[in-house]
Amino acid sequence: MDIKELERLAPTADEMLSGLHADETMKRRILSAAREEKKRSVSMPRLVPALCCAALAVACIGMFAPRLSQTAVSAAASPAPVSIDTIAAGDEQAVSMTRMADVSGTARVRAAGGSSDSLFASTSGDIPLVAVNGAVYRMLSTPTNVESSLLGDAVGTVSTTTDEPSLADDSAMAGGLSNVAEAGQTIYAVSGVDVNTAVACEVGGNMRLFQRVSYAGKGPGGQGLEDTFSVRGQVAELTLSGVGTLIGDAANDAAAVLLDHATLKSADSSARKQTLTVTLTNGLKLQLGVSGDTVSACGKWSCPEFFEAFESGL
Amino acid sequence: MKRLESSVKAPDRNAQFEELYAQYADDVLRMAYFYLADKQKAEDVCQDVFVKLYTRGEAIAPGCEKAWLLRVTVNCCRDLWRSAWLKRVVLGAPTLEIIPAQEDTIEQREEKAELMRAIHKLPVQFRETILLHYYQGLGIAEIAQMLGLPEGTISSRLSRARKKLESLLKEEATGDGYQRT
Repeated sequence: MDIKELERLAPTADEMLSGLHADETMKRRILSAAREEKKRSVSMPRLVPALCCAALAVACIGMFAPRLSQTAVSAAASPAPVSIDTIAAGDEQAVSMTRMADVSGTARVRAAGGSSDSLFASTSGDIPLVAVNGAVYRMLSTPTNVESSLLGDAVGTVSTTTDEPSLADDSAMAGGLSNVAEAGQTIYAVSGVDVNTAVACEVGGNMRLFQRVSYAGKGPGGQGLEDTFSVRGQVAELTLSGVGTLIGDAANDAAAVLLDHATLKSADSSARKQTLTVTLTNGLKLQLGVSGDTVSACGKWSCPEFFEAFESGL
Repeated sequence: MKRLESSVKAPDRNAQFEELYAQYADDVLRMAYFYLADKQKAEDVCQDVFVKLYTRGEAIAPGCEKAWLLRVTVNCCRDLWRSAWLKRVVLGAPTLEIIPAQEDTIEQREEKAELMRAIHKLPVQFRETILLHYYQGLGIAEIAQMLGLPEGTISSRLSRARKKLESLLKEEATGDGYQRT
């Protein structure tokens, strides 16, 4: 087949797809859908006042009903405890996206593999973390002891140890705080990794690696993904669970696409269905949660371009 | 650059819909099918495109109807292509099935099908540029305006797409087939 045939693509495609017609049945279906859509958009303005009234009524009931039922409550009663919802990367159990039953006999699975296990550590339901300079880092399950040759400068010291890190104020978060490392432990930078991406700190006699995450309102701020996940040019392997692994230049190229194109969707992280594990050239591993075309650790970032690049790189 | 939309009210929405459907619905459907290789999804795209046409508040400037319809088609196809990326990676990209009319001759059909399948195997940015230029006959400036990219980028994409296509066709001719997508 000569490439010059491309010049005749229009008649060729029309001929080869001539069995494909937008017929009268489809037109009726479209018209019906279009009229429904039109009707919905026209009726919405009429619904607005009714919805406003309903919302107002619900708000009034919400405000006054508890007061009516609290006549026996002492005036000296203490205020209700404040509930703070927090979410940090890696909380949710990863769900495998593909099962063997889903894969057809003719499927071409290329380089499929990769673990969907979370690298983020957890201790009896708590999120083990350290916070320093206003940034929060979550402990990773691997390595269990960071080699001393990988430790960089000290970036702070744990001055507060608490079981309720989500309730800590900004100064405690800035001064060095942890729920797993003892007070007095030094928080170190890691050689070859930006201090805004990961740090190390001794926990139970072992030097553990901590990765930057969103926690209790401490997100990426106005920063880009690379400001909290700086791995450009240092990626040895990139594994997307259930899909495959890129290595070397292909991994670095895909990571660069992610860092260049990711746009912030929300400051917290989110439920994940897969994981993207980044093995750095120094052997350490970092991880992002993946859901649809978003990745998350410190913030939730949308980047369809990355997944296209990953697919192309396989 | 010429705007694709006009503030002129459509004198008769139904008449415009009927006219444009008769003239371009096959183009939209086939373009979507060529892009996605999925008949059901192509029909969904065709429906979305014409529902958008019917429900939009402003008329499309005369002479720009096809460009508007193709722009919406490409956007819908992109969304579907992206949202289905995982399924595609795990199960493999869909193969473009040729759907000729029954009365078509079968002479050289396989060769033509080869070209179309090779185009479908191109990376999505190359594929949509090739389809808009060679299949739908749009010029580089029109494609650049439609995709919101500089003309130089479109020219470069076309050139790279042709090279990639040539190598895909050579692979097929030497029997390597299309193992990679």
